[in-house]
Amino acid sequence: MPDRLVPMEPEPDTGAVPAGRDQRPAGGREMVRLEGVSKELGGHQAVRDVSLTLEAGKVMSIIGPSGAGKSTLLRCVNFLAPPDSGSVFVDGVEVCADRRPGLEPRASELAELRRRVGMVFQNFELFPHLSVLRNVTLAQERVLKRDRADAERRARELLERVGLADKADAFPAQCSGGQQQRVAIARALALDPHLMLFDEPTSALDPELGAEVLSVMRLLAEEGMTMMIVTHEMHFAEQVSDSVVVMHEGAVLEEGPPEVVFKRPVHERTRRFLNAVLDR
Amino acid sequence: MLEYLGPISEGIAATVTITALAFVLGSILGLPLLAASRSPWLPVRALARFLIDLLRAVPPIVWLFILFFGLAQSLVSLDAYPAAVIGFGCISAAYMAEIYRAGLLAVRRQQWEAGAALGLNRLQVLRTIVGPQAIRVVIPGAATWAIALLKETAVVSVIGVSDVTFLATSESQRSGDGLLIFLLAGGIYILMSLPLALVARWTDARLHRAVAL
Amino acid sequence: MSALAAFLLDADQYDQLLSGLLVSLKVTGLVLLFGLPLGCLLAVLVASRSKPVSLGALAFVEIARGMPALVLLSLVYFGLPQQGITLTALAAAVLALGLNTGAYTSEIFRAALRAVPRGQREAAASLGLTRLSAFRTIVLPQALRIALPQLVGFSILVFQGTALCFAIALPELLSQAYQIGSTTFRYLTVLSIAAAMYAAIAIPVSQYAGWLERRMSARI
Ligand SMILES: Nc1ncnc2c1ncn2[C@@H]1O[C@H](COP(=O)(O)OP(=O)(O)OP(=O)(O)O)[C@@H](O)[C@H]1O
Ligand SMILES: [Mg+2]
Repeated sequence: MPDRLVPMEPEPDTGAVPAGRDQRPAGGREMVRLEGVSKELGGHQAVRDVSLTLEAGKVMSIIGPSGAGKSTLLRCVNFLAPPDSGSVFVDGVEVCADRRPGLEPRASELAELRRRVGMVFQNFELFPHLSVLRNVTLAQERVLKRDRADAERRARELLERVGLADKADAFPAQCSGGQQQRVAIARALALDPHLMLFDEPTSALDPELGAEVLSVMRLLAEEGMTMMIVTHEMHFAEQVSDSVVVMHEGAVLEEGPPEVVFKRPVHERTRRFLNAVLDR
Repeated sequence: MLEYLGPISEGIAATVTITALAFVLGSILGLPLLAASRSPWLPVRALARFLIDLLRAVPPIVWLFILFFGLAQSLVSLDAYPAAVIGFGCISAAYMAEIYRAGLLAVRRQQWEAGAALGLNRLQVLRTIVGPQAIRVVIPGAATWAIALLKETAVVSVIGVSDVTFLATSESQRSGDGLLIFLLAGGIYILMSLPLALVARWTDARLHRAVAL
Repeated sequence: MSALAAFLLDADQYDQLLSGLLVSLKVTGLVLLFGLPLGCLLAVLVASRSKPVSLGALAFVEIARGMPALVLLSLVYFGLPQQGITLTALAAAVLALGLNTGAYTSEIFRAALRAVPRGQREAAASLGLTRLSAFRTIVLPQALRIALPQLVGFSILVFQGTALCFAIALPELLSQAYQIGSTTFRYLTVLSIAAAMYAAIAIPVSQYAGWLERRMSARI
């Protein structure tokens, strides 16, 4: 199915060669490090002792069956779901998970972390009472203290880049799902994050609309954005990522470059999962 | 018919001002009551919850009697009019706290998360993202409560405030034409509630449109 | 506990309050018995295809809902005798509060009837049921189940509304409390105990209504 995807914007490179991956400078600098992150939700161990690293400019895809803990792991990275234990380093900022009263991360630490990390949600979560432009400027003004004019300039620039310059004054409800998700990407990029988290950004979309979103994400990857992507789009994951993480029952089952994980998975469980999703 | 309308309508001032003052008082007091009922501290939360339940469980006329007759024997003695405003103000606070709560709950939990992911703090998220969305649910609820309150205030006549119902009752005793007079009084209440009903209907329609999109 | 109770009021006075509470509950029951079928009837009439019937029912609902219950009660108790129709306080209370209940609950019934999926009527029709028997056996039972939480919630308002009968000298709970207060001058004590009695009934019932509501929305 991914072969039918037609990007909205002309792209320099859409051939069979995995886009972007080989052209980006080898980073080497560490952007994300998770150490022993665990998280329990409602009596269920959603994430078990996960340790991962991701270098600057690289793209990591996280795949695995439903309920494996992918979303929870992603939400641990920006502390939307504060881990029960372990620590999270993002771009030199370390936040330790300590749930004991008085020792939990301070609001200022979380703010510091979250301004470096943009997040894109499965259901977009645009603010329905604000125009598209205001959705993109709000946090710039409140968090980065940019003035209105600067924020709007930056917002229009980003909307242009995601192909939605003409939607600036529309309200979210007047946009298609694919357009809303691209606005959500612009909204996150407006804070100049060093890391972008995507939680199944296309699974609420028809394939055609999902393609618009994937092409924006490809563009981002080519420009060297560090990204962690939870996705069921295996073809996209294979093309765009530098590493693929397979999760199962809260733990990392397997991690490696896409060629290895998709073609020669080590674990039997990975093979079964891939067969199930690729056969569809 | 017109000879009755004059005397009864003199009570409109009392009915409207008691309703308006109690509503404003309740809208303000409802906020700390809501905050307390969502406090992380259990005793505070339980106390606020109990207060909200109690204020709504006891009939308004009983609260008025407690304020007017009950407190009259103790140190503070209240006149009927302030007793009416304070009594209905406290009752309104409980109802408004529930209306505010429903407004907050109507906003998807993920909107809090989307705000937090952008680095906004809780107060900023409440002010710029969740609050403005909750308002759309709060306004029709508040208008509905205001209409109910307007009608509930009729019981202030029992403690002697000269509102529409009080004047209708005395006019009926004087003239012996109670059927017509109480129908007129009822009509006046319906007319007074019309503007509120329009607010409720208008915002409700807008709400449905916003949700439908 | 009982020592405190005895300190507050004497046994006769408790009996008096309890008899008042029983009257309040009796009035509540009678009002519901009269008002709920009326509400159901009004809902059906408002939904009628005949314009005059529908508008007439709607006008009645809006008027009976739009005026304060106390005004409606005064109209029935003080207004009707002046036209030669004399009612006892109990009959006046049941009639006035019942009309009010009918008007309010008709809206609840109307929403519930609309909430029964259209397909249910069609399925009943396809089985050859007449419109009347489809309504009685298929639509109404489902609508009642949908309306139940709100009806339970409304019955609390009816119970609270019985306190208005103070104005027509019906010996319900508030009247009894006031009467004790006027002889002992311990208004605060006796009124607080009466308030506690109202709360002791209203709070559990409203929690039950909330539970029903949650169970209902969980099922949908
Ligand atoms: N609030 C919660 N309370 C209890 N359990 C939860 C809660 N949230 C998630 N879980 C459980 O935690 C596990 C991991 O959930 P998570 O949403 O992270 O999975 P996922 O890999 O993202 O799945 P999907 O592909 O369906 O999105 C699941 O078993 C889920 O049922
Ligand atoms: Mg998920």
